[in-house]
Amino acid sequence: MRRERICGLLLLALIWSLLVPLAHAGEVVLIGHPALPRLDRETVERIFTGKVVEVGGIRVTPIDMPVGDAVRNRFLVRWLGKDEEHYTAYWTVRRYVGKGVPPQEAANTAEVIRLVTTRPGCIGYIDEAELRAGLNVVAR
Amino acid sequence: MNSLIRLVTLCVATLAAVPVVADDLRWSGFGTVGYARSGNEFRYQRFIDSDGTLTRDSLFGVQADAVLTPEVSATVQVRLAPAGNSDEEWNVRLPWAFLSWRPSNELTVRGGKLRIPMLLYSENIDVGTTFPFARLPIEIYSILPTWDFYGLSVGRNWMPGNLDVDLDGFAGWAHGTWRVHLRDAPPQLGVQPGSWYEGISGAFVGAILTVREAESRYRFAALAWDAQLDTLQFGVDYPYVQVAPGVGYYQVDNRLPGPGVQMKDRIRFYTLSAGLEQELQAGFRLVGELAWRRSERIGLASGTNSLGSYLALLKPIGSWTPYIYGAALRSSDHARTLYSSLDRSRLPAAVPGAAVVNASQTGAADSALVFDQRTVALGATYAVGRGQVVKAEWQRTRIGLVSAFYDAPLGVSSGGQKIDVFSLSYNFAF
Repeated sequence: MRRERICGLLLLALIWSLLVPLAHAGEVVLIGHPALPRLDRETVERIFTGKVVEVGGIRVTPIDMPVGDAVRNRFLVRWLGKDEEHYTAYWTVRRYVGKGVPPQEAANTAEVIRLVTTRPGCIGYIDEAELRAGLNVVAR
Repeated sequence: MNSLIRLVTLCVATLAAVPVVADDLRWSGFGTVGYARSGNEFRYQRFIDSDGTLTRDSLFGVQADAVLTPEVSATVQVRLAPAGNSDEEWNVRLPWAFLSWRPSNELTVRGGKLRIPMLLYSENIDVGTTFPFARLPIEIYSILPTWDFYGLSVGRNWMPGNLDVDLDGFAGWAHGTWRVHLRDAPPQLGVQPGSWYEGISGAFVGAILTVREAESRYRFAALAWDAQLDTLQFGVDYPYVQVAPGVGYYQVDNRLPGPGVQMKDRIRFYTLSAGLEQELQAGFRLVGELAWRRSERIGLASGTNSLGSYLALLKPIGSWTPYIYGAALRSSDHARTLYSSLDRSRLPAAVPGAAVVNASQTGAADSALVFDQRTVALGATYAVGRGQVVKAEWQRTRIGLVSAFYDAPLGVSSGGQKIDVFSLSYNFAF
């Protein structure tokens, strides 16, 4: 009886350990400078593809996470519908037709938070688990 | 050489000055190392023959993009490539050197040295990783003698629903070259057989409508160019001079006996184009373009009135993208008739001055720049890593009446030639 209870607890722990990271991995939230309004998915996509540079009269500056970052990969797939290869290829073309350069890259989540809280117009994305009080969530 | 030194100095000075005023400066680079070889002894597209060449497709470039203010940015691109006015030399050019002002989502104004965005890939023609073929079809991408211009571009964007619509107007001044290969020409008239580059320059104006929906793109463009040739002149009409019954020649130069020929060194081009990149079922992709070029002020003596097109089918499969395309370029009926008439025009050797006259007929036929060719290409690109693509292609070009892209020697016509070209290239961008 005792042995069965231990096995049950271990099984529960295993399921929990598998499900919790998955739940967190699914959530990428967009945060922006406090003056920025809520944004819809289409606007987010257009900001990160260089088609929108101004929202509600505010000049926006998108911030990416570095290439290879797991949050970046999730953001690209879920918000832009692209993988890294397509996103890079998109910006390579855009750069060489003289239509601008890809978003600036922050080194990590802490830098994204620092930039969006201190620089007017900055918009970045972080894992929902990194959210803290006072951050302006512009899209989720 | 002095001009090269001045240009390099200007590039270095410009690139060095950018960081001083820029909030955000980004560097990028691109290049292609490309090998091409044909089965023909004589050159096609300037460089390709049975000896093989690295010169046709290889080039290298560096670009600096600087954000000067939130609304204003600067772009400078320096490119090392085979010279556009020499078969032997490479040179350093600035395809891009412009300031961009984007005050809102809808409006973009650019001024400086720009690229004519007429065709789907004409702005990024040098960056091999950004287009899906080993080499852009010459049947379309030769429609203008240059893709660079100095001037202004104003773009307006709309995003109704899922569409992304751009309307761009541009105007400026451009200088380019047309390569002319003469099988024969009379030195007595100051012309030598062989190849040379004819400068052409002038003011132009154009407009482009681009519509995007998801991964599909459609582009329509119109351009008018009032251009002047550096040295070459076309006759408005070449009068036929009869020497004896059934024997005669066309007066292609006022130094030849005849009633006189009115020569012109200005051409007004009108060019219309349409292009599409279309997503199809099952992951297939269709890419095609069509360009129609017509010139004014030249009644008879030019092959510049032409229609070019290609249609390609691609199928991305993981890192591979195999493709097949067919392309064609044909000068107008009028131009082909002119070429045939001049090319066949011969005086018997017994007629005094026949050698000069006959050479002038061949020279005039070749300088008319007449095209009549079809190409089928089969190739594949393979993405070897981020920003790196290897491309391989086999293409077969069949020349109909004539093609000014083929360097036929005296006594050989380019007409009826079959040219197989194998190309292999490594392309990168970072």
